[in-house]
Amino acid sequence: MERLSRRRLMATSATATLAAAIVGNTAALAQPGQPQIEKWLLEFDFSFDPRTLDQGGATPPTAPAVGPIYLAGQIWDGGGLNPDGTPKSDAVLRGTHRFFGWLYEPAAMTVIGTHTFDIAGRGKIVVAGATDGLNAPVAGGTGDFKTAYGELRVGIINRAAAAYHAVFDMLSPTIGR
Amino acid sequence: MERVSRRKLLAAGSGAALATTLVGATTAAAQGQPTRPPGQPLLERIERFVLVTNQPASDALRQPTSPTQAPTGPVYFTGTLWDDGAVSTDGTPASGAIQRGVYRSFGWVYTPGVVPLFTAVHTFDLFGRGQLTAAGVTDASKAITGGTGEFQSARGEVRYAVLNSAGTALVLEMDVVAPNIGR
Repeated sequence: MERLSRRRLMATSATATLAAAIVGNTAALAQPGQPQIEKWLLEFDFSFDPRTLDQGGATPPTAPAVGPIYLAGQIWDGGGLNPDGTPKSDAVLRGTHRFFGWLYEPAAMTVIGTHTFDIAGRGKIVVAGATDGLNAPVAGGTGDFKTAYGELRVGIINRAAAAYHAVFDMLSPTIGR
Repeated sequence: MERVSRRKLLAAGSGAALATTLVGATTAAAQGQPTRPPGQPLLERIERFVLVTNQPASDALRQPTSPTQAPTGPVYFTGTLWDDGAVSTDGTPASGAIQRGVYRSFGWVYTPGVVPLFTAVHTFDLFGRGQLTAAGVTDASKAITGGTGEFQSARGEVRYAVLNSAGTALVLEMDVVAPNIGR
């Protein structure tokens, strides 16, 4: 079986709604009815809604500043956002995401904290860590993602519009079953 | 073997002192220490506790509009953990009830109220057993992110249901999954 590299998987079409891949597991593929999922890639686009910005002050902030921060927004199927960060006419809304933590670099919007991706009807994926490298560990999940661990890799669609592409690269012997 | 559904467990009465259940194994232990069939790993364990919130010890950055309502913004919550069934609906522990642990969380309330919606990092410190950590948006469930001691390799989720309208007592259902749980 051909071994799929992460880079190649990342480079595949962004329109795929669900990229589930089995990596390096020829024996599992050969067993009918019982595929062993060892690696699971999920792609989404997400954007932050600036109206949700809260930094704990007495009045609503006008622009992000160093300090505590809460932000939320919507999750779309991978490829659902245009380059300007607006949703495409055929974009499929998949859920809501919420972040809280500490903003330490407002220009780059780099933060440290806990980010919950709530996929409607499936469960939540929780990511915790800092975002300097545009990736962070998957700390856990609920529902379909109850046993999840792995990492989230983020690509920038439009920084000004706070629109991003997310690839959840998750590992688990039981995930998705 | 009967498979125990989540709904059934959540719908079960609160009288059970400790609902410890093995899912997917051939034998279920209804009480006390879970037993494991020979040669089979313990895959999943469900335990229930009652969380009684300690409102005077909890804190928020912003002033609440009323003493019982959590405001939006950064918050700290704490409380005590008791056996399921050992606490009345008003949050008062029964005589002879044994406290099982301490709960703490730090997070951010985005929908204020008596039972607010918030995203947080939670710790459940179970005396003599270890600490279980969970994180994320706290609506009906939150993700277990790890732990110490007995829970050092834990994954899974914590589900909860409100026990009274004041939000001072909640039933927690810890659905813990791990390759070496309970060892």
